[in-house]
Amino acid sequence: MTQPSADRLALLYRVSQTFNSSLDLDAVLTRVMDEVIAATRAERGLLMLRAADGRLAFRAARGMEQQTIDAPEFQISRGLVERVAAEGQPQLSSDAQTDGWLSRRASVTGLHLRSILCVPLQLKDTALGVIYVDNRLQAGIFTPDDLELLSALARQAAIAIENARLFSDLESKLASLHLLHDLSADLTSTLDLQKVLVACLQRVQHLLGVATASILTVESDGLVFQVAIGEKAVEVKPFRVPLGHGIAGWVAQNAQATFSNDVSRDPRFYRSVDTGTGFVTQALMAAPLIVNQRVTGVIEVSNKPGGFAAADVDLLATIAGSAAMAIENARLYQVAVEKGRMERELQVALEVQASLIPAQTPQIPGWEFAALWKPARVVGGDYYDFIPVNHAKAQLERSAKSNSPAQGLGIVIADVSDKGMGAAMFMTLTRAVVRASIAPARAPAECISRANALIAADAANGMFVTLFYAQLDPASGEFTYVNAGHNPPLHYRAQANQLDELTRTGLAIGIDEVFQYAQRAVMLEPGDFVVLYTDGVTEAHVADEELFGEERWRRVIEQKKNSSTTEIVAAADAALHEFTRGAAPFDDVTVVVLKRL
Amino acid sequence: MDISISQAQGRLPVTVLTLKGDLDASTSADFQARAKQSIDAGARNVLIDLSGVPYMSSAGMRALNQIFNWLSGSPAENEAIKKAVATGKVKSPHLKLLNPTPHVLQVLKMAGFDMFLEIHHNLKDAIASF
Repeated sequence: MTQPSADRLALLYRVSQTFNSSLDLDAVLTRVMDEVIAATRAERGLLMLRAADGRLAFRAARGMEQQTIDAPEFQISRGLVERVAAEGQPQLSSDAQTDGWLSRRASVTGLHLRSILCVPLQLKDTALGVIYVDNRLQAGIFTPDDLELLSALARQAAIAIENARLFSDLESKLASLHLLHDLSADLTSTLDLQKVLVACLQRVQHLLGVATASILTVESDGLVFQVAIGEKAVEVKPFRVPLGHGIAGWVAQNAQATFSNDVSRDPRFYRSVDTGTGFVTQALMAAPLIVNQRVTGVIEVSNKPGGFAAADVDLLATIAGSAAMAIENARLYQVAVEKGRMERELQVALEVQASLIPAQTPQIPGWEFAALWKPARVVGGDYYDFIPVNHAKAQLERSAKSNSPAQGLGIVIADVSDKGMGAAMFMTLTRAVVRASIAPARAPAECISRANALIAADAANGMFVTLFYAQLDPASGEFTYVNAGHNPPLHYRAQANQLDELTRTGLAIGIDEVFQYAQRAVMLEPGDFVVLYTDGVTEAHVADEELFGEERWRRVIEQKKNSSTTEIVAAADAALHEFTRGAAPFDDVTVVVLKRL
Repeated sequence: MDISISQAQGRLPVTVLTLKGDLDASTSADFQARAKQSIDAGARNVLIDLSGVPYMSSAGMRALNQIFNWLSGSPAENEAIKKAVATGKVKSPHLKLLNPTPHVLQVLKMAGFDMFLEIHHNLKDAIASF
């Protein structure tokens, strides 16, 4: 180096101006190398920076290329570069052929390396990287002055590089901020989950320049593709990534973002999706969607030209963070909408159910009827019904004796399994089918067997209904019943002063469509009454406390054995109200009482 | 509700679902979903241990009936079972119940579930019965 020191100062000043004129890292690195080659008489030069994984990576060069550095001949120089970066001390060899440890390396002589200069890009205590220059032809071309100049230059360069890096960080943060802003704009415009996800993926694809982007959610049986864009987006949708498999599975399990620039060498990679879709994944990056410290899904992108870098992972992780919130918000919104809709539907169901309950009790001389029906807030499936049954034969016989028309009466009480809209629908179906199945010429057991066959054919999701049907002959007091798995009604026999149970004569309805029901008959004598009820009575309770139970229920009725049906029903209502301390019933409560006067 | 799943080996492999807590409208969907998972994973013979269930509502029974439907065998086998339910001689070969508490046994019997579901009171016998 022959330049006077004033020139050197001028050079350094110029360099610092040049370096700081750009905040684009690649532009800065190019300028650094230009100045380095101009200031030294190096034949060629190279700049390496530490990547996120700590390894030195080739970033800019003059007179040499990536291949040169990877070649075995360069290995010795690479050793020197590593050493400078590790120790932070510059190295100068004016003649590598004769100079200390370098001269003993075969490659130095083999390559005729004569002059080598290598300085760290030192920023405070850390070496960001190194600048390396050499000359294969002339010995003694670099002097300690060159070393000093290059070191000074490297210090300037380090600052410029760091600035550019910070700026680049800032830029990507800004980009993610823009993305987040756009995402939140999407969110305020739509809470449709699919739209939110697609918008999110489109922005990711645009920002990272990837071939595909997808969001998978964690389900009980694996990761499911919710949304996918890019190549084979349609084909990939039916695929599932089993839990613990694939890079996405790894990300979900470890709640950590990752990438692989060569999935063919990554043991975590799940090949089945590529095999199934015909897509060829080269590089893959994935980040977890985390809500309340729980991984709810994974955002995955593939095939970025040039591969993924550490900065991309940070960006994807940031996007994943806000996407997770966006997805959660959309999901919560959907749940709220669903709930609102459900409540409206339940309100409608309740109104439908209520409209099907008889508005009044039958008026038959010598008989008394009363009923209580209290639907639970969440619609249950209780109902009762009174159906006139004109028995042609009985009518003929009776008309001969008197002028009053003979009128049989069908009485139904039923309870559909479960609650909600489904139960209410099933109840209306049951009511219609039972009404249609009852015919004067048919025995009650046959009516119910027919109704069961029709209902069972329509019963989905294990739905069934317990039902008690009785046909009353008001003239004789004959009470013929079918108990299809229903709570046994209580028959108070006045003469014996005793409560009998009218127990089951068959299975609940809707379970077995070929089931043949049996029937039984009892005589209702004057003073006798029958109390029909649903399990909303005997299973009434408050929170975790004990159930109302059959014992208590029987006592309530026994105390009212000489009362009117209206009084019996009122007593039942009062007892339940007292027992549950006025709380709204968990289940529909239905009581029907008929009494022979 | 707490649901644990284990495997037992009798003459046939049996999946045992042990329930703890009330089986009602708020828990039956979860119970049904867990059973479905097992069935989808290949379970053909299922024993439901009800010893830890103090209360079962009709929603729980609906879930049992649905699981019974999922586990039904060939149409011929189903036909035979259904025709014979009334006689009490044939019951589901694939779904059985173990140790229902008195209340649960009462509601099962009331609705006639004992007419098509076998109820056992001893784990060993229950496993051996499949």
